[in-house]
Amino acid sequence: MRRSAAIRWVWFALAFAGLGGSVAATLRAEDKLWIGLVIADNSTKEGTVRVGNRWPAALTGREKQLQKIFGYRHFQLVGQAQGLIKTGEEDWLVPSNQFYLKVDAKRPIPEGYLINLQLWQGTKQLVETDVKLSRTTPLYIRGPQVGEGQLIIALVCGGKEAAWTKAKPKLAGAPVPPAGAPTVEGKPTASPATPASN
Amino acid sequence: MNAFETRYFSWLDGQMTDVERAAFEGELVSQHALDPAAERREQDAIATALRQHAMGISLPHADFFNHQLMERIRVDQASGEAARPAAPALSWFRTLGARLALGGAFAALVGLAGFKAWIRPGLEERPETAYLAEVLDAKTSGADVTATPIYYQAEQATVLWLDGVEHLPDALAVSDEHAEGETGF
Repeated sequence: MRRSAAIRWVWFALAFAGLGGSVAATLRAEDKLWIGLVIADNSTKEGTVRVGNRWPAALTGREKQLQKIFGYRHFQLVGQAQGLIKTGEEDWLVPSNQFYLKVDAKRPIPEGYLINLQLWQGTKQLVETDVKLSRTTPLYIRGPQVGEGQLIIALVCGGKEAAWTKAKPKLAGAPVPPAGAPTVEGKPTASPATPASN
Repeated sequence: MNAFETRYFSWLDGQMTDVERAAFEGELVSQHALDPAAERREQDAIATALRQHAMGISLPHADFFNHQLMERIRVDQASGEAARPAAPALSWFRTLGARLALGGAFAALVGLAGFKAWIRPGLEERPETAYLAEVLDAKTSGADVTATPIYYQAEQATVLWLDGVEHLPDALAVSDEHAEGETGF
């Protein structure tokens, strides 16, 4: 009698723990990866930090951080895209007609995701990197000089839908990597799958 | 009561045979240095005194007292019979309650451990936490291009710093061709 009661309680506790685990899995299942292209320059007067008219929620509150890291005073978002993080699947984020990101989420880790990223500029792969992407802090890629400024590629992942500025719906003829353009190993030889930009 | 005391009270009450009485009185003299006649007189005096004292106590209203006593016994018996079936139920409740409390506490502990292990890390918000993105490996395609990870602990950000990337003439080369307004939406 006592033994069967103890077994019953163990089952109850395991069910409770399983419920907690499924809640956690659900939370993680909603995580998104956002990419934004930011042009930074010093077109504003010294001592002020300004951003463009439409500034994404993903970078809201990080203006001073950008200024301290990159040394520029004016930041303007020129492109963005976001997609659900799907572990074990490759996906493309296309924030502009020139830059796009191939995302291969390997697996979730306690503080974020282990992800393989390929940043492309046109038909040229700029960098391929394996990163432990944090759910709480951003990853910036300092890109090429653009005119008088600097291109910054911002990557932020998280689960709060309200935290993100909605990406513009993809239009017909939206930019995709040119078919067959890359020739080195690990690069796509055809147009990538439909970009996850919404 | 030991054997001597038993025999002593039998002697006082006159329940011994002549032979037994003679033997016991001889024992009193020889082993206990007592005078049987004086001993009997003393015990008779005590018995008389006790009897006189007991006779002096009189109970007034004996019938009323007796009635009260019987009434009290009757009530006690009735309440005892009524309470008897409830006792097992209370015991059952206590046992089940203890099991529930124990199981609940155990489940709460497991739940708390699960929450801390799985759920809480997912609920932590920026910028209070300090998990920085970590660049494990970075490869560039061009020989002139280098990628260097830099960790800004104070700013809580990681930068993959690309050097040697070709300069772009202006922002239009970067921005979305379907731009709306100033920032390219």
